[in-house]
Amino acid sequence: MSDQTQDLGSLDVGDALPTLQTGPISRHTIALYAAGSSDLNPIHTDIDFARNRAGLPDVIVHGMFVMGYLAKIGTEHAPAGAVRRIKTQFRTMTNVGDNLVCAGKVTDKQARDGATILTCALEATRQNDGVVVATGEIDIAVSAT
Amino acid sequence: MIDHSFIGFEMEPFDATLEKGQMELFAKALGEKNSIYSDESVARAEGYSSIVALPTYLIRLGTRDDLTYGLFDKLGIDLAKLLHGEQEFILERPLCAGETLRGVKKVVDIFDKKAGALEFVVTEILYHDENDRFAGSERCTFVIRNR
Repeated sequence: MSDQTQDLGSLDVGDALPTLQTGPISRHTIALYAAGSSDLNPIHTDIDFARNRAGLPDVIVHGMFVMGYLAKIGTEHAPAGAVRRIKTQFRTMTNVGDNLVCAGKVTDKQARDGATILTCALEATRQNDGVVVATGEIDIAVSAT
Repeated sequence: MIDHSFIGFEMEPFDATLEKGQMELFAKALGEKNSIYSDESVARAEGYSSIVALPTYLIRLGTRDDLTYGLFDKLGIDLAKLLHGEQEFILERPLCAGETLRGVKKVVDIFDKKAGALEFVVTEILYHDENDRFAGSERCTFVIRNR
């Protein structure tokens, strides 16, 4: 774990973080996320509601699933507690079958509260047409190098 | 239109316990590979009392019918018109399964754009731990499509 932390700590402004990809998001994944998050809003869980009440062709993916995936950029390569802040703007709906590429880029690096904080811009992009579905920002505490 | 006098409206404080089974499922749903978020033995070996909550797990603590749908009802928001616009979490420290936090949810802003075609409601939940220390917070912007 500490080796990976060192990896993030060696990043500088302008550097990219390891990219993650959701793979095509299935209704099963939506159901799992609904159960894990307790967000059972019918727009995510009931196709009849999505079609007849919300006027959508199908259920949509939780924005929070996309944000959770973006957060993994800071959790899979750093120790617990490294993510100090994360913010996401949901630009458009994410649909069943969308395959999102989640990317991060360092925009700032500074010593704060006894730690080195990497601030990174986040972006989730639909692979098939390049549409950005979510943008954001994350602060990750790293070991200084 | 949503009544703007709800700006500043504060809901009753609530207690929320971080539940291990739910945290495991949350980590699984996101495919999180760092096992400190799902494997107790790994978390303990790292010095934590139990598995650690993922940063966005904080959303779970404030997802309750009384807080979520209760507020929508009070503001007169139709679920079918509702979208999640923006979300932010501040994590003061790692939070572990078994901890109980006290949360207070507040409406911090209500505004509209495009002559009311889009309305925005901003809510905030501040969490304090059992020692009354700040543990984390979330800020959420909902969008209501009035077309």
